[in-house]
Amino acid sequence: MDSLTEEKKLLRATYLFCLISFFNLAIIKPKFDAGAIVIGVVICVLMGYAHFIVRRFFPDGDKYILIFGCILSSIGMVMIYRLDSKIAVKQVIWFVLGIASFILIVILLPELKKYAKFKYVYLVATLIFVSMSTFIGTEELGSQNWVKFHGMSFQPSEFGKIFLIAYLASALKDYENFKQLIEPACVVMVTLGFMVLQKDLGSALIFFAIAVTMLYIATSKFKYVAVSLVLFVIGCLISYKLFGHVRLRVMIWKNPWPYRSNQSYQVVQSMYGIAWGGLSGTGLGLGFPNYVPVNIDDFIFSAICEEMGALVGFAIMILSFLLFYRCMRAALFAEDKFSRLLAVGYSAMMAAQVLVIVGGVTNMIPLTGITLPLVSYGGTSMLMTFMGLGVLQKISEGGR
Amino acid sequence: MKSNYLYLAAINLSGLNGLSGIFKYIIIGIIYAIIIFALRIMYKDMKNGDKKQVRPSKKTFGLEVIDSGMSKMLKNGSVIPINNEITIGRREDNSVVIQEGYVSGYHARIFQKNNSYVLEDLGSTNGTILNGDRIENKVYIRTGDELEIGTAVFRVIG
Repeated sequence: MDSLTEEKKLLRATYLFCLISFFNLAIIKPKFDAGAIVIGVVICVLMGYAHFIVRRFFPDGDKYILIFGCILSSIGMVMIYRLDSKIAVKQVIWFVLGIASFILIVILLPELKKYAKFKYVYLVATLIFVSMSTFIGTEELGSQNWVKFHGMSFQPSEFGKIFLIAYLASALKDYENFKQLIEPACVVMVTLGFMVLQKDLGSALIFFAIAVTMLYIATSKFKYVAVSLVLFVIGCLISYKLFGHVRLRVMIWKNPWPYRSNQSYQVVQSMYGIAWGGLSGTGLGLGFPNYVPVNIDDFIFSAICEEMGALVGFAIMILSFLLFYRCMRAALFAEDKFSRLLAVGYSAMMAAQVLVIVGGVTNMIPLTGITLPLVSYGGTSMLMTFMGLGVLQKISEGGR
Repeated sequence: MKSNYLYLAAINLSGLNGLSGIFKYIIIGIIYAIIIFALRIMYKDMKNGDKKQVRPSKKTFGLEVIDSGMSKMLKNGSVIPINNEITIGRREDNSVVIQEGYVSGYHARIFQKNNSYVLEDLGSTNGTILNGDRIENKVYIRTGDELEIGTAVFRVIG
């Protein structure tokens, strides 16, 4: 069996999932909801079209990156439609834009090697984006990480992530001795500082995970990883002492039950939801996911676990892992060290995001509000993840 | 919250509770079928090792020798087929050997990328000339292009 028939089999199963889920969503409404069917068909057509473009014009690349991305986003869109059909339409538009930017990056981006030399451009861009919301940001849901600009709002830390990875890749690519690590280390520390100031602890954790992974891949020395872990623990203790919001998160994490009607309302409702859903869930439209606040965004995982079952929750983690594996595989074929580190950075970013938010909503680690990549509602996050996947797709073509 | 209750009441009235309960098993089944397909594909991929699969190219592509120059091994009018990759140079282990002083040991390389072919100069001393211009690093080549390596002249046919 050649790879094309395998890809088609996978895609056909995805279409089936999409159509059946949206049919289910259409019949649970009091009146048959034709809009759901339309959205399901639109998503299927988009996935098929994107796969066709990649297969026809870029056969050297890895086609599974796109397929796994599409499966994850279709699960997300099913759940968002169940929770709020108006927002789901917006999410479909973001999905279209995400796919479009993926294809544009694959078509337009020349060899990545050329971009390795703009180290200081990336450095400046990283610092601008991570510091932006400290100065002009607005506070939302307990963390100051949104910037409102002419009626549009976006999270600058999402852009900051992309630029930090590019900066670290170009800074670490010619690693030879310890001295070269001082500058990137300072940059990472400054970024982490800004994130803690903005009370965006989830992003801080992800920035740290990205930096440590890239450091280890670039130097393959465990002692640097150990040193950064020690520094990270010290940093955590200091911010625990200094900042009230860090103490609050840890307090909720240790024992959420005494504060279940105020500070820990979200996470307790999320745990109730997951427990109520059980292994196979209540069925779409039969649970009570609307009790969990921000259920389309950060808490989509608990909404999915409640209505579609913990089995689908596990499936999301397995699919994210498969996507991570495909992305790391692209790093193997990369022709130069810059693209290899870039691929490692982007895949680490996605994996870290999944672990942090899934751990957060199940109260295994202190809850920090970030999006579940591709599944959650969120324009910036969707667009940035698809752009990152586009770069990975380009890297997977390899230079030979 | 009130609208939520109304909504649930509407579901109970419409009597489709049972259907959603059946659909949830179908949905879980499909998702795990996807995962099993995917794992099977990944397993095959790992068995292949880290080698890239060589795709058989549908387009035939080749180089026609127009002027063999000083080399005695090439003949005017002969055709060199390109399958995935060829290397050109003076050393014996190239796929096309041109024995003359103007050609470097490993001079140039032509390989397939996506649906087109790329000509890469491997840092030769006297350069590779495509349609009269010396190339820098890599360029895409099309049917009808003429390339000069040393004193030999080739035309791309396809």
